[in-house]
Amino acid sequence: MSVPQSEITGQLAEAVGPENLSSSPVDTIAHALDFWPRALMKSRSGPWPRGPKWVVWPGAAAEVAHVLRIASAYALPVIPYGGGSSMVGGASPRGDRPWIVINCKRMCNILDMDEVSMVVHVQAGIVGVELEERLNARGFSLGHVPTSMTTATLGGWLSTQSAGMLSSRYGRVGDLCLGLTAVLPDGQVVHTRVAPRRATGPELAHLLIGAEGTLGVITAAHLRLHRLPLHRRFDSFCFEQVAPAMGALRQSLAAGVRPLVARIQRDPRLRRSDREQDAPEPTPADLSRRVLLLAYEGPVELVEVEQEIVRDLATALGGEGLGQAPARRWWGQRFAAGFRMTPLLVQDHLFADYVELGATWQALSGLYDNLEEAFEKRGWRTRITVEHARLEGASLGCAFWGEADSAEAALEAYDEAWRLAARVCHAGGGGLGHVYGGGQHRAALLDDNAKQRLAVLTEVKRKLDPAGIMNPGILGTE
Amino acid sequence: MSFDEYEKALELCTYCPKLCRHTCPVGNAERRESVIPQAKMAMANLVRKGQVELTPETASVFYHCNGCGLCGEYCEHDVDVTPALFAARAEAVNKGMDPPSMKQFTDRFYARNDSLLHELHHTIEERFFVEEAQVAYFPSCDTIEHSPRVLHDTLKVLESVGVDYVALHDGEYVCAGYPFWAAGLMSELSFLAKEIASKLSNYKKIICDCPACVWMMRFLYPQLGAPISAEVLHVVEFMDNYAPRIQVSSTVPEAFYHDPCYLGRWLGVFDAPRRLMGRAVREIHEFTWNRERGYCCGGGGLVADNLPDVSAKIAQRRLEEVMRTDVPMVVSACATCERNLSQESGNVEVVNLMTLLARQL
Amino acid sequence: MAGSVRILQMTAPLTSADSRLAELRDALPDLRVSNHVTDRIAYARDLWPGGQIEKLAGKHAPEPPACVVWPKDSAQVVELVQWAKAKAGVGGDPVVLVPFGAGSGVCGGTMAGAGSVIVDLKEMDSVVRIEPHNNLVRAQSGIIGWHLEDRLNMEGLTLGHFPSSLMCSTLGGYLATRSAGQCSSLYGKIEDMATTMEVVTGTGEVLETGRDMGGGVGPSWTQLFIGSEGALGFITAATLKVHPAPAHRMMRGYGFGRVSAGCEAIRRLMQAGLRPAVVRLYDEFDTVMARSSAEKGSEADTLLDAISGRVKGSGAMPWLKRKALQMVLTRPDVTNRLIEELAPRISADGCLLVVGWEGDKRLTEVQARLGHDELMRSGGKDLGEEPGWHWFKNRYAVSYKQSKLFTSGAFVDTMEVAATWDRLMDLYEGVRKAIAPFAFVMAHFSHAYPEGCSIYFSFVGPATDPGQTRQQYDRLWRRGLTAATRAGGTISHHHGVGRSKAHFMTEEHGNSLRLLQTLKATFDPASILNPGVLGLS
Repeated sequence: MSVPQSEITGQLAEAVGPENLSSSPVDTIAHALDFWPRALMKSRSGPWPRGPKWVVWPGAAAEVAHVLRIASAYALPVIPYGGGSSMVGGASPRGDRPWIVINCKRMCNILDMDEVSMVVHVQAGIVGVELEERLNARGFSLGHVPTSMTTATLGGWLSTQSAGMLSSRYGRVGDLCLGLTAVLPDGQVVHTRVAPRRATGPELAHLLIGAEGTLGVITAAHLRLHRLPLHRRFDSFCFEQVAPAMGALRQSLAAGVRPLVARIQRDPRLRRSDREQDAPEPTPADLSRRVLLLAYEGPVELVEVEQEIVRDLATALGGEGLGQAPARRWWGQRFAAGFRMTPLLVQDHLFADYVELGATWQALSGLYDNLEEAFEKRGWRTRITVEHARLEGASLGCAFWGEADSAEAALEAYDEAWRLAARVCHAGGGGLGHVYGGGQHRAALLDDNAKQRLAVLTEVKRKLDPAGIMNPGILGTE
Repeated sequence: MSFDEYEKALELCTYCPKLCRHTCPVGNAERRESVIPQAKMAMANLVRKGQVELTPETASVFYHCNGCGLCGEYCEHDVDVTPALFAARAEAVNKGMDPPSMKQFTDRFYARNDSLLHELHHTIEERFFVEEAQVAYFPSCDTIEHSPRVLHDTLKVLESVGVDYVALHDGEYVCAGYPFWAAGLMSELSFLAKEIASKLSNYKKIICDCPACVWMMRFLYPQLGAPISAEVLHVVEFMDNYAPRIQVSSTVPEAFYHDPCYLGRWLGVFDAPRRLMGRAVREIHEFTWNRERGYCCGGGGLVADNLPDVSAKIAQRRLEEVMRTDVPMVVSACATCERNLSQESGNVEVVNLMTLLARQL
Repeated sequence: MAGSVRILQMTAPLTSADSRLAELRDALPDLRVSNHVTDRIAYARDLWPGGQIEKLAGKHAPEPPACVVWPKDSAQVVELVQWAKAKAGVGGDPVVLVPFGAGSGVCGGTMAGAGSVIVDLKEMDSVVRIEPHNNLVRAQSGIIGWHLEDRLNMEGLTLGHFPSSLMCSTLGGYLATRSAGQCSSLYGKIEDMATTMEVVTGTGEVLETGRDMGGGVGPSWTQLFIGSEGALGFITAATLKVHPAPAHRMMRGYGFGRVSAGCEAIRRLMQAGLRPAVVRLYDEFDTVMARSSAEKGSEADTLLDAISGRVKGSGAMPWLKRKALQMVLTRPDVTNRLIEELAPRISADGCLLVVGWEGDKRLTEVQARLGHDELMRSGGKDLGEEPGWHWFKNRYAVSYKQSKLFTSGAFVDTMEVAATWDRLMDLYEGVRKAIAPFAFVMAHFSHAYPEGCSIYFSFVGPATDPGQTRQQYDRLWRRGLTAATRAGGTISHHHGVGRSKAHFMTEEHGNSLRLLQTLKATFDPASILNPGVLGLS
């Protein structure tokens, strides 16, 4: 089909204003890639991918609606774009089609702040850190702190049902959402109504939360807040193995403790940068040691009791108290992980990514060991962290990287690593994908049940988006 | 007790949000909304008020009640469902609308009585039948039919504690008439009650191995104009005084105790059987549903006869908790429970308390 | 065999039922099915008070279902759906399948009308597995709440879900209606407990909505099927979070001069980062009811004691009681005004707030202490433990009062709305005023969240004239729900919508209703599943 591009450009300009529309390479190139490592790796030696045909910056839901009506009329694929920090290719154009990228970042205002109910009504294009700072200034916090804090937008978080570092206490971002505004593919602006809770049918916001822009564009949301804490406490425990560390965490959560942060990782004292110059090389025992890092917040007496309960449980399972320092140190560097991968991606023959999976406690330690072993057998490096712990399980965040002979081989190894991770995950009763969404990448790797759930999404999409304009190719949609 | 006397109870149930439904063994077994206590009572009420015609079909739900009375434990209006539904059965009988399964019930009752009477004399030595005794042992039909050794065992235990003044009652009946009550055959029941009352009035004490017989004689007979002057006790109540004297040679490590509905909930006897059982069992396991909340074995209300599948499911449900453990034994103090539970108990032994004691002497 | 029975007021011809039954038997010979007249009557209604009013007028089963079926597993549910789909394709009487748990809904959710096929899920009532290490239980949806809790208790666990219908409702019913229990502020509503469910959709597909651990990629089908009231599919099993049975429990009562002050105290409590298990604030009149419900007996009596006895300040004579009853029931507007005037004298301690804490002993104690301080700072009067334990002991008592009221010629119903804190008092006043002309009304605030709270209105009205009663009853609901949506509240916090509130779905959801319609079109394209609920056809 030959698309009358100038006609479309004219209409888009009308929709958002000419100053908020661009087909300039400066913009299309900037929107060509997100942070999907595979696409970044490909671009190292291959051509820089073709970006979208148009980038638009609507200022309101009505303008988004206008853009979607144009896209529907010409059957143009559309990507709702926030911070472009997707780890799974959710925000980058694909295939040889004239894409419209809707960059939502002009929609970044706090529309209303109800300090009595502690609910904020905010536009979805706001970048996480900006929202949090503006809330902090008024004594509140959202409690959603993913590594992408400084780059991702609220709309991106909601669309991918993002989980942050404080998810053990505050849940995933969808748990904070009391209602949202979204533009459907035909341009209708729908509002799901705000209520603390209701029993009036399915919770409709959840059709858009996690749909990764395949059903519409989220433009605003009502979010529950909490007060900035007066007290924050840290604690750390060292265990010989990962399993008892998991046990202590699991038992603490079952007892009703609500830690702000709870993660299990390698002993940070082994980190090269943290080690003394003349320290001996770590022994295998050092390497199998795991540290449980904890933070708490809330009324100080309550925090003290929570700390005491965890300390008792951890000690009973052989945990050695390391005091506040390791956890406090991690807290200070909590956004550092986001920066660690880039150096691994700039060299042609290296590959890296981050497998994230969720599993119940009983499956978790087996998965942890199997994943580590499977990767090490191939000579690939891993660092696995237990995070997003909750009553029934936790997720494993497995950073992996390796070296290959060539750029092509690196890409092949990368794909093989993912296939391997999926195999190990499914065999061990885990579920792939917990934090980053599915994007272009994960759908094919999922287990059969999860694939079926995405097939259902495709069915819904056919009804809401018969022209197939909304982020096609994401989550297994066409 | 006419049907209309239950008006208040029936009305309350008709508008109740089914709050006792989770207790009903029949409702739980059939999973059928029309046989939960509330619905059975509502149907009885509709029939009473003429809003639904009484037919064998509508009357059929009245027979889906095992008369255990557990629902009453969860009623804050003190509604007694069992007598109300049994009165509804009587109403159906009076109008000739009882279901086909109830036909010739009286004939069958007496035929069974006579054959069991014969059986009794065949089983028990004549020396145990004494015309003049202070304490008469009134043996029950289910015991004779299904657990005849309980008769011997009871006598053996009594002997062991030095009680030699108990004699088997040598009468014409081996049943106090619970089946008639449950069948809605009130005139048959009255006749039988008067017969039995006159036969038993010579004794000071009467002991029965069937909890329902005790309840009938103690509480229903007076209402039927057939009071019994003698004290009527269940064997377990009688034995309780002698518990310290029971000398066992060995003990069983562990067993569950199952409260028979009539002994427990209806007669309020909970501790005596546990005390006796404690003589022979080192660890008594309790069901989650125990004592006042004891769950029926499925044997009551003629359900075992009319709806054997339902009765079996009730027994299975009762035993589920035992099956999840390694405890090899369930002890009860009622031959009906013993019969009904043992049909579904697999490798778990269901044993009468008297048999257990006799065995460990 | 059903044809021989005459049922007054039963309008649907019984013959059509027989033919449906024959078709079903033919198509699905292994499926347990019945059109026994007692079943058709028992399944014709749920516990919607509007239906109870009709029962008072003798209409027990005006539109009985054609038959009842009991699938024994999800495969049979699939077969049933396939059969209904095929029937829908060929014209004739459409087949309507209605999922049925224990029939204790109060919104007509299972009343799909004459000729429907009731699908009783109680054959599917097993606890599939308990995973204490994962704090999870997998159970089939037909299990009765009490039985599930019982089974968990045996393992030292609790689900933490205690609706007052616990004895007479099923897990599937909780999930289908977004149920809430008395300890929701600690354990959450049912939607917070379920991590994944097995559903059979109206297309005949078996879908596992999520993972055991919850989360995953894509929209949460778990959240989209919870609350679907049988309009999108059959919920056949679910995995739910469970907790160690509480080692410690503390209860306490506090008095607040006015409802608004009590609400403000709850808000501060919830926003302080504390998690009480129970938070219930009674308005002036409900306080009297709550504190006196210990004695067995009718709510009507309590009502009368409260009005004639306590208000007059002397032991009321029976005739005075009866007179008061007449007044209550015939002139609710006057009574409500009277109560407002006399509120401070009715209850010496003002409005009662019951707060309960449970769980780990240390956590319970420290939270109870912090909560106590917070409530005292908010101006509460410490009433000690007694009112708290009093509530706890009688926590299931309220449901028992319904039948007493109906049988004494009154109707009783409840309306559970919710709003964020900024709108809560408007919601309270608005709904109260709207209902007051029709019934004697009282309320309590329970199910509190940091951002808002639900209000549970109970109301009693006259039901002496059958025809007029229903009219007044419907008017009451229309006005009440209109007031609720106008005040920015939701029309239901935990009872669901069913058929009785279906015409308010547009006010409730605005244009986002389209998302629900899309789900319906996707999951039940043949419209065979419980049409009419949630305003869906």
